Amino acid sequence: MSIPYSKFKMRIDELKTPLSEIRGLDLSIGYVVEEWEEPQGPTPFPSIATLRKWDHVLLNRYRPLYLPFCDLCCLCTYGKCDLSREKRGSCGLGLSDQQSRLVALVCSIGASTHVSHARELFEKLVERFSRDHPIDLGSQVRVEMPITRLVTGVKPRTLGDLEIVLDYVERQIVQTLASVHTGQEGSWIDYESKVFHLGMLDHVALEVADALQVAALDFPKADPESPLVSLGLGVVEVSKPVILVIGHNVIPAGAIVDYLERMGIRDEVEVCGLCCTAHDITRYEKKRAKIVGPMSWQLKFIRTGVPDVIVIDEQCIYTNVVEEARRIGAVVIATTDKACHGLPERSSESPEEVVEELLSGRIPGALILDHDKAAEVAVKTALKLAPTRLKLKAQLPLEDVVEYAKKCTKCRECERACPQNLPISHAMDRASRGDLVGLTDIYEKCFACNRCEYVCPRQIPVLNVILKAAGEKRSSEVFKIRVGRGPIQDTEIRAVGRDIVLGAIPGVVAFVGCANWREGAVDVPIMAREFAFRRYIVVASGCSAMAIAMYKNDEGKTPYEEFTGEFTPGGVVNVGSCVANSHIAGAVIKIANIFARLPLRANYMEVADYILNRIGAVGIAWGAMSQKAAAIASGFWRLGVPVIVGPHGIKYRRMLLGDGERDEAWFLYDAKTGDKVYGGPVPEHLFYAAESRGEAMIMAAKLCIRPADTPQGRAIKLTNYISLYKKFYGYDKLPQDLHLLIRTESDIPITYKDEVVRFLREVNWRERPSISDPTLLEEVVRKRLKVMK
Amino acid sequence: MSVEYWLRGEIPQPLKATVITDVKVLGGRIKQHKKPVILLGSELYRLERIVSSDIVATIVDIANAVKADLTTSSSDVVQRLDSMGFKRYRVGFPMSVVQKLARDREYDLAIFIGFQYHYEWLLLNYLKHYAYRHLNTLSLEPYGHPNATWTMPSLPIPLWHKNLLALTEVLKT
Ligand code: SF4
Ligand code: SF4
Ligand code: SF4
Repeated sequence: MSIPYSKFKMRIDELKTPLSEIRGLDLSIGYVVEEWEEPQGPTPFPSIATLRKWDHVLLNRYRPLYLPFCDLCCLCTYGKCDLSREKRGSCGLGLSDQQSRLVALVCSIGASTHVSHARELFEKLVERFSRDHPIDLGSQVRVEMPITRLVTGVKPRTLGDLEIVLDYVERQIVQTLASVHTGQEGSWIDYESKVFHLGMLDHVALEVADALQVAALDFPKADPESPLVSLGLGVVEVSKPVILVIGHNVIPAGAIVDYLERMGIRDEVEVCGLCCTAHDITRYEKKRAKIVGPMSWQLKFIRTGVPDVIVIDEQCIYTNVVEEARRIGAVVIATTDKACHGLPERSSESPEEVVEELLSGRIPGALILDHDKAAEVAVKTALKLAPTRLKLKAQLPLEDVVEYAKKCTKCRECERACPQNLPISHAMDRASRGDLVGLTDIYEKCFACNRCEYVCPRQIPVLNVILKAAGEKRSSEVFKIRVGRGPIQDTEIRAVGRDIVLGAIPGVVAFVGCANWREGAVDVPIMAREFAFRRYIVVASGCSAMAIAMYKNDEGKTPYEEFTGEFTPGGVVNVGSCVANSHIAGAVIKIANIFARLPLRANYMEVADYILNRIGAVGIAWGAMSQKAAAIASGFWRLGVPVIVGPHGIKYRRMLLGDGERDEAWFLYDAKTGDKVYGGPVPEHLFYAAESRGEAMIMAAKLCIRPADTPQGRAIKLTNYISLYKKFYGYDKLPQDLHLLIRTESDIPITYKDEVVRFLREVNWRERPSISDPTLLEEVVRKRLKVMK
Repeated sequence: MSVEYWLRGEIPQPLKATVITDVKVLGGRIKQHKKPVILLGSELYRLERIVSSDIVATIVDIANAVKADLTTSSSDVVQRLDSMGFKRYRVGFPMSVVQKLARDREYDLAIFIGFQYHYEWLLLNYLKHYAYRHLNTLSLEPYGHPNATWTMPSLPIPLWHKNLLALTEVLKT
C-alpha cells in the first residue's frame, strides 16, 4: 500500500517480531477513517507506476495518432528545439514524446484546478458544518463516492474523511507534474500512462468536490425529478438589479442568495449565472436563480449591459472581465486568490466603505476573500447602482450596425483572427446594404472570443455589431433546464445494469464539457435527442447540459421537458456542473459493482477492464475546451470509456486510435478458459475527433459496442450503427467494417439481414466465436480459474 | 495576402508549405504523382455558398483528369457523388483516412479541400511528420495551409475559385 504519509490507520491482525507477538492491533495515526466491511483491494492509493501495466495494455491497443500543434519545444533554455520529423531536442526528446509530455502538462493543470476547487470547498464547508457532517447523497445512494472507493480504498462517511483523499490527490499530482521537467520521463507511452494517472486523480477530485457540496449544501440528492429552472439570454429581468455570478465555485454565489433571503429582499434582485456556478447556484437555490448560459456566453451577456455587479469565483472566467465591466459601467467582485484580476483587496474593510468606493468609481472592483462580506457588498452595490445604469441596459439602434458595416473594407483581418474562420467580411458586405442575415447567422456560431475586434484596422467593434444585429434573437432565448440532480441512484443502476451489460440497452451517451463550437448549441441537443429516441441513456453535465436545453421541439418543449430525468433508456439526465461528471464515471463503476458484484475497494484494474469490455458507454465533448476537460477525458480513458470530441478537440495534440486491421491488437482472454481469443475491434477507439455531427453520432453508436455483448445485444447496437450510417449516407449504403463487428450470424440485425448477409458474402466473412467473459488481464483469468476450481 | 498562410496567429514552423501561386506549376506538381487521393471535407458547402458554384463537380473533374480516388465523410458530398454517378470514392472518416494514409502507402499524394481550417491544419501536420517518406500533401483551400507540402495561396474566395477552375483546365490538358 502506498499511502505516502506518516498519518494513516491500519489494522495488524498478526505481527511477529524477534521480541514480541502482536494480535489484533488497530493503529490510527492522524487521519481516522472508519473501517469498511469490504476487504482491501489490490491497489489502494495508487502511485504513478501502480496501474502502469493497465495503461500499457490500453496504449498498445489504442496508439496515439499525433497531431502536433507546434513542431518545436521551448520549455527550457536549451531550446527552442526543432523536433520535426525524426529530430530530437537537446535533452533527447522526440516529437511524439513531446506531444504526450504536453498532454501530461495540460492534464496536470486540469487536475490541479479541480483538486484546488475541492480543497477550497472542503475547508469552507468543514469550517461551516464540521468534519463530522455526514456524506449523505440520498436515501437511494448507498454506494456513495464510487470513484474514491475504487481508487483509494477509502469509504468516506463524513466531510472530514475526505481530507486523506485530497492529500493523496494533491501529492500525486505534484509527483506526476514533476515528470515533465527536462530530462525526466523519456518515452511517449509512459507520458501517456501519466496522463491516465492524472485523469484518474482528476476524477477523484471531481467526486470529492461534488460530494462536499451535495452533502453540505443540500443540493438535489440523486433526484430524477429535480426542478426545472430558466436558462437563456432572455430570462433575466432587466428592470431589477442584476448580479451575475461567473465561474465554478458556488460558495460566493450561495452567500449572495443567503444574504438576500436574510434581508427579505430575494425577489427584488436577479441572481443569474454563467458556466458551472450557474448550475450550482440553481442546485443550491433550486427554483429562483437563473442560468444565462455556458462559458462562451460571457461577452454575449455582459455586452448587453444588463449585469450591474459581476461576481467572479474561479475557472473559465473571461480574463479581461474588469475592462468589459468598466465599459458597461458595472463593477467586478473577485472572491478567490486564484483569480484576483488586479483588483485591490478589500477583505478587511467594512462593506459600506467598499460599496461607497465602488459606487464612486474610485475602484473598478474589489477582491474580497470573505464570502459573506463579498455577498453583502455585491447586493448593496447592485441595489444602488442599478437605477443609475438603466439607460446602459438599452440596445444600440440597428442603424449603427449598418453604419459600421459600411466602414468595412473587406480586408478579412477579422476572419484571419477568428478561431472559427467565420465569413465576417461577407456578412458585413450584406449588412452594409441593410441585410443582417449574414451577421445573425454568424451570431449562431460565434463564441464571443472578441479576437476579431482586436484586429480590425477600421476599429469596427465587430463582436458588438454581431451581437446588436442578433438583438431580437438574443432576447428570445428562453429555455428550461432540469437542475443538476447529482448521483445516479443504486436502484436505477440495478434496474438497467443487466441490460447495459448484455447490450439490450444500446449504450450510455454522455455529453460533457463545453459545447461552444460553431453550431455546438444546435448540434448537442440534436445528438442528445436522437440518442434518447433510440433508447440510449443520455447523460449530460456542465455547459453541454446547458446546450441541450437550448432547443425546443414543435410543441415548444426543451429536451428536459420532453424526456424523463431518470437514468433509464430514453432519459436525458443532467447530473450538474463539471464536477458532477464524477457521477457519470461513478454510474459506470456502480454497474460493475452493483450489477456484476465486482469488489469496488481499491480494485481499479479489474473494474476498468470490466467497463472496457462490457459497458457500452461513450462520452461526447463537442466544443473548444480547457485543460480541465482534457483531465476529465483522461480519467474516462483509463476507466475504459471512449471519448469523442468535435473538430476543435483535435487540438488536444493526439488521438488514441485503435486499428481494426491490426488483428493482433484485438485478442483478449476468455476468463473462463484462459484462452487468448479474437474479440474484434471493439470499442474501436479511445479518443477520437469527429469532423461533423453525423460522423460523431455514427461513431458514438459504434463505440458503444463491447466484446461481451450477447448476440441480441450486439444486433441491437448494430441496428443503431447501421441505421445512423444509412440516415447520413443513404439507405443503399452499409458501413464497410461490419464484417469486423459481426461475430456469428445471430449478431446480424433482423431489419438489415438480407443486405448484410450479401455484404458478408462479398467480403468472405467467417464466423468467429463470441466470448461471454472477456478480459485483458491475466489476473482476472487466474481469479476466475481459481473460483472455478 | 496571397503568399502568406491564412491564420494570423500562425507561428512559422521549421518545415513550411511552399505556396504555389501559378496554377500551371500546381498542375505540374499534381501530375508528377502516380496515385493521388482527394479528401473532401464537410465544409465544402460553405465555399459553394459564397461562390454559388458546384465545387464538388469541379473536384470530380480534377479526379477524373488525374485518376484520383475521392474520400469524404460528408453526407452531402456522398449524395452528390452518387447523383453524378461517380464511383471511385469511399466514405471515410478523416481520422481513419489519415491513419491509413500513413500506414498503407497506397497513395503518394493527398489533396485536401473543404475542411475546417484547424482540423485540416492538424491532419496535415500528422502527415507531415509521420508519413513524409512516401506521401506529399497539397491544400486546395482558399487559405494558405502551412503544414502541407504545397498549398494554394490565401486569396479572396471568388479569385480562388477562378484559380480552381483554371487548374481543372490545366489538368485536363
Ligand atoms: S525540454 Fe528538451 S526539447 Fe524542450 S527545449 Fe529543453 S532541451 Fe529542447
Ligand atoms: S468573437 Fe466570434 S466572430 Fe469574432 S473572432 Fe471570436 S468567434 Fe469569430
Ligand atoms: S477587419 Fe474590419 S474592415 Fe477588415 S473585413 Fe473585418 S470588419 Fe471589415
